[in-house]
Amino acid sequence: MNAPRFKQLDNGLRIVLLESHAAPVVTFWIWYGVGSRNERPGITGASHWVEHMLFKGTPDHPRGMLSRAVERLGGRWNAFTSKDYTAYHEVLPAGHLPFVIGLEADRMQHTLFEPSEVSSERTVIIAEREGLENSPAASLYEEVDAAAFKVHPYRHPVIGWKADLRAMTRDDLYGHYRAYYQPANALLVAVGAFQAEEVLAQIQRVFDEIPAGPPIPTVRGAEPPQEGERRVLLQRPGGATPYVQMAFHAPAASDSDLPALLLLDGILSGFGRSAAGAARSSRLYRALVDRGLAADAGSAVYPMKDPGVVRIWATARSGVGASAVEEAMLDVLDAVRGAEVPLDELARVKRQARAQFVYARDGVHGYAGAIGAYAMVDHPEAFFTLPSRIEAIGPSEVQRVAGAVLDGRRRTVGWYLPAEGVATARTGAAASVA
Amino acid sequence: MSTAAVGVLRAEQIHRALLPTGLRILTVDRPGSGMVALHLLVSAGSRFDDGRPGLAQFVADMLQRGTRRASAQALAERLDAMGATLAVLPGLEAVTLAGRGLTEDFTDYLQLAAEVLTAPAFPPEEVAKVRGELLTELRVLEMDTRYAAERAFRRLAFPPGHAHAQPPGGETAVIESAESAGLAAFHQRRYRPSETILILVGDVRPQSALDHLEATLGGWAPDGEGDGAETSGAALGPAGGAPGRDLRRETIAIPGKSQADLVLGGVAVSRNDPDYYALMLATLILGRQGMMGRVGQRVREELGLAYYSYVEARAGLLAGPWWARAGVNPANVDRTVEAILEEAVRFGREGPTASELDDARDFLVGSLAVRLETHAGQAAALAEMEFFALGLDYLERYPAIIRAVSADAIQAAARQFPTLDYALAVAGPPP
Repeated sequence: MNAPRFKQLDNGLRIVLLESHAAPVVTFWIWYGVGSRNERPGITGASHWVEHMLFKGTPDHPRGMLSRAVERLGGRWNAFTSKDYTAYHEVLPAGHLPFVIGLEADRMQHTLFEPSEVSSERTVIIAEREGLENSPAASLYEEVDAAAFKVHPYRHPVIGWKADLRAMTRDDLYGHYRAYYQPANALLVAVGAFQAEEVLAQIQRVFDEIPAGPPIPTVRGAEPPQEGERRVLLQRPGGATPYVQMAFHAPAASDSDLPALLLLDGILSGFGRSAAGAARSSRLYRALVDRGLAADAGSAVYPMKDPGVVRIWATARSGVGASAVEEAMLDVLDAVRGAEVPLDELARVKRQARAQFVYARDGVHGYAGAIGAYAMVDHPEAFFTLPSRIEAIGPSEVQRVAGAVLDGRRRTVGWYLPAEGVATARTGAAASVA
Repeated sequence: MSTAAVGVLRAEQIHRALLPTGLRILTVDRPGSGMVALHLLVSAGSRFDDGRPGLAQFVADMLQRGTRRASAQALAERLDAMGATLAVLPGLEAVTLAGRGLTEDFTDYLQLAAEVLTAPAFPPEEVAKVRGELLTELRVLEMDTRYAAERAFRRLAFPPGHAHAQPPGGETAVIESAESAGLAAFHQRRYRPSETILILVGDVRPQSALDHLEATLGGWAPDGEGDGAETSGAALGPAGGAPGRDLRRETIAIPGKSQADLVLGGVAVSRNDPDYYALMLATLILGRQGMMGRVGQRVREELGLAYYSYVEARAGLLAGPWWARAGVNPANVDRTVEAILEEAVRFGREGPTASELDDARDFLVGSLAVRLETHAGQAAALAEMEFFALGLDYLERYPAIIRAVSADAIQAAARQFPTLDYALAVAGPPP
């Protein structure tokens, strides 16, 4: 794999290109610096809804033709929205980058927001939200964030509040699109079997001519320091067992403490394990799952543009109360604050980090995703320098960061308790369904 | 348009060895990657539960919970100290152990994987822990509308006793009563070299990989007799639906939910059935392609009823479910069912358009390169090829196989999707 190329066009568009010739595949990502962070009450969920609308076509790329074109090239594509950004990505056999470069330049400027499409997508997005509401853990996550942030828009869920989804207008969405889908607010990442010079020329051919556009609205609303524990309780039927989640205020991705924070997360649940559940040798696993208090447990540090949170969570084992789970979690956190992590334990987590960076290069699509996710919240080189920054951290720095971040006065604790005890499903014949 | 993706993984790049014990090994060299992907497939899935749903999963979940030589915690520390991963994925026909390790740890990683595969000890204290985890997971699943709808659909679409009729998460009574001895006995019967395929893709030279594998697993010789591959005849059951059962509709009311999830359909064909490719292409066009095929186009894009809406066929050694699934507001269940059925009827009546056929063929052939991009992607493809005896040149033949499927064959397959005698399960909030 070659060294990455970084470039910024006159209109502000940032570009990261990385040749990788291990497989005859290329990937192209376009990231926009817009997510629920850029929303206010009344239009929460706008960024995510706009993401859906970018699949509705442009005059040159009508709706049905978009998916067909990508798939007939043997490609896959999708998009997602987070609190900080919205990303659109394609992966396809080598040689087809010019098509997707043109497609993304077109979608940046000319997406149609037909009122009828906005209308049918409203119910789709409300259905997406209702699917999330079916999960008590997802609902609790929303409650915890809304309590942890009083001022900063990180308090809004990415999907948006339901009342806003019902009320938002086509013009709200179009205005949001026009405000944020600008070259100066975007980043391109391409990785794969190509010649970087050629791809750069292809990108410049279509993106250079797009005007820089108006300034991107700034986000106001710095979160004031939290001065005491906050607690939320979600109580409704539909769940089988209690869930406990915690959120501690943490520095932004660009803070020099991010590498130590990532290692702290690794000590708690294994490095980079957030989606896979805790590693079995990690502290949270041993204290909660191995001791029979929880069916699963984990922690996560998502690098964020503004100061975010460290998350800790567990699903109580049937018959175990939320308070016992919370107590065991707090014991783990107190221990990591109270004493330096033994060298062999830190070495184990650093080794996990090293391995993760090797695995990350297996597959251009995932690699470009990791590069972009860091670039959007820090700077374009951030992901590439992360391994050496992590390697330089010692146990005293991990303890210092644990002491500062995992402070009880800065935490929000959320419990989900099944209402009316543990509900049970009832079965019957579907008389109403033909 | 034709996008030839062959050349990504040709027969001569795949090194296959058969050990005297029956263990099959396939390796692919990926020099310079610095890592290996391991993919182990054992014919020890839930179809071998013999009427005790959950048993096979319990056994699979115990593999990393202590061996004859190491405690659960010692195994975890060894794996995590390498930065390696090893996930155990219990399925209906096979249990998969899949993970990644660094090349420099290759021999230790392989040793660890071999140990958990061949010598789990089922220590009673770990059995108790896993029992508690599984019971909690099962209770959580039972309150999950997608799971509840699927479980009910399986009961409706497959005859009692059929492997596919079992609840995928197992049964509480089975998990509560399973003990070390019973779990160990299942392991002794099903986890055998003759039932195992090992795939290794990565930065290790094939001969070196084979030497290590022979040294590590060549002596694996479990005591006693194993089951033959097809001895669980009772679990196989007839492949068709559930003839003579009047009630093929079921709703499950779960309080506290906003959305209803529905599953509608019948039974697909097996992976080795002559109609498999036609059915797969029909499914792609009806409910996968683009924004989820004709069904997605109608239900999501035109009517705006659902966030997800698709059709899927599960074809293994056994014919699995062939279902349309959607998540909708409870008030829209009937409209969604009608729309799905109308699309299925229309597709069966008209067959694919010329452009749909071209789109589907080009996608399947062209997307091979993307499917095979990662070590794990290659390993999964090899596992499928070996498990279903498709031949080492399968990926080279694949484009011709796909292009040979005619529009008539796809239409005939589409007509098999049940639009009258279908099973329908819906799980959502109480009315």
